[in-house]
Amino acid sequence: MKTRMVFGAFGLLILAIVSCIQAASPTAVDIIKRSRLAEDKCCYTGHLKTTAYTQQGSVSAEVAVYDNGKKSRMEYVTGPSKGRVILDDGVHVIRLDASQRTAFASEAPECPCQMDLLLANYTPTLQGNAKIAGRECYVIQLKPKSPRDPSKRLWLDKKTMVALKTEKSGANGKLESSTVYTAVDYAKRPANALFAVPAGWKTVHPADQPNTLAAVRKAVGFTPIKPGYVPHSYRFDNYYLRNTPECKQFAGLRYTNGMNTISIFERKGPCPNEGRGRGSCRESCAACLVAGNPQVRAAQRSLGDLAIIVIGDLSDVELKKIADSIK
Amino acid sequence: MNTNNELKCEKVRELLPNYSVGAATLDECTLVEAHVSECANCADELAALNKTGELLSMISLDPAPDLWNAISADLGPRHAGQGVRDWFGGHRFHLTGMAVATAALVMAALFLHPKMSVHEDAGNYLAQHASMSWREPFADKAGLGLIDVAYAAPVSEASH
Repeated sequence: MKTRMVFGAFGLLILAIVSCIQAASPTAVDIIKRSRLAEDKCCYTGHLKTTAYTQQGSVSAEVAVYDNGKKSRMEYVTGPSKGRVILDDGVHVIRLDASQRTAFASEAPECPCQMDLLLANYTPTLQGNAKIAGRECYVIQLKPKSPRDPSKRLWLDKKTMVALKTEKSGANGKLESSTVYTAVDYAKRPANALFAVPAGWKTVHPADQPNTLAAVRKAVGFTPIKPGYVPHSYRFDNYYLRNTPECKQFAGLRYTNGMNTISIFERKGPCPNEGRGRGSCRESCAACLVAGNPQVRAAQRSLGDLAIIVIGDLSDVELKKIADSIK
Repeated sequence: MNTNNELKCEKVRELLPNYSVGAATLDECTLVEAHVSECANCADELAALNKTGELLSMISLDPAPDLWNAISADLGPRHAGQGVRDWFGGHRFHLTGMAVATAALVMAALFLHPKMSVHEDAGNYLAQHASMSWREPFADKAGLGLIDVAYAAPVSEASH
């Protein structure tokens, strides 16, 4: 009897210790959920380096970042995009063009189901700890369940849950892009003026309309067509109205697997390079627009008087299959 | 005391033009915002600059509707090609040959560099794709801001 009591107490003690350890070391799912929630709360300024790997090499830029939790500003201070400024006002992504004193705004859609989709299509794994910009970080791997989808590694600040480093690799395992903070300061609150379109500038943005098929159809003058095929991990999000810089409107259809977007743009007129020398496409061809940038390939197709452009981080074969299924 | 204030006003007024068009640095913004909240004169100066910016943006840069007619009327009496001959010092010049050469150059530009016009379209579609991807969980926003440039820019760095 005494022995049983001792074993019972010992078992309870082991259970308590295991529970304590589990509470102290959160799971990868807990971490990414906490990080997603923290995105709207954290206020900081920072400096990062972002690199896109192409088939021939790479293109890099250093970027100054200002974030007040609700709005953000990115200033590209080096590289081929030097001088570019992008604002995020919480609804739109706004590109400031100093040469035209014009702000080009596009709605940045958010699907409420994205986190569930992400967890349905990716397996998060806690790979360990590392230091980025002097901050202790969790290293999380997001491995796709479908072999056709890209993967991601995240370095999340243990205290603030901000992603201080991101690496994206294609379905073939090759690194496509990498962004890493070289400095971050959570104590410095960015000035409000940084998030505003400069006074006196013109702002170009699509008319405020609901993102419904009826509204988009009315604006573009034709019924946007859904593809007959998209990879099974992707879900239709919505129809969107998009603008060219010359204010011509076209339809956008968005599909997401929770972490990766497929954009389908449909507009009246010929394909962007139809009938223009080499590489022109009468029917359909994969990677006509973007051959050298692995993280965004594109396929395009003419269908009657419509030009259809499919963009996403998928293989050329998959993109062509999607484009060909629009009938 | 007054001299200190005047020095601060002088410094802030140098920063106001950049601040009003959103080109000031973070430190400069902080300095300007702190100062104009206390200094009515500098606040007025900033308001005037903002107003000027708004007025400038309203000015139409389109040419007057009768401008071309006026130029055409001025050129009308001259014989076609006279201007070109004058340009070449009055020597006889084979306009037909020049037209053929120009056409050949244009055709060569179109067919040897078919992606010149595609870049502009592609840049817009890629920017639209970037905004459609912007709010994905853990989106690499700095990387998304680079995708059209990464496509269009010459690649000079070493392969990874």
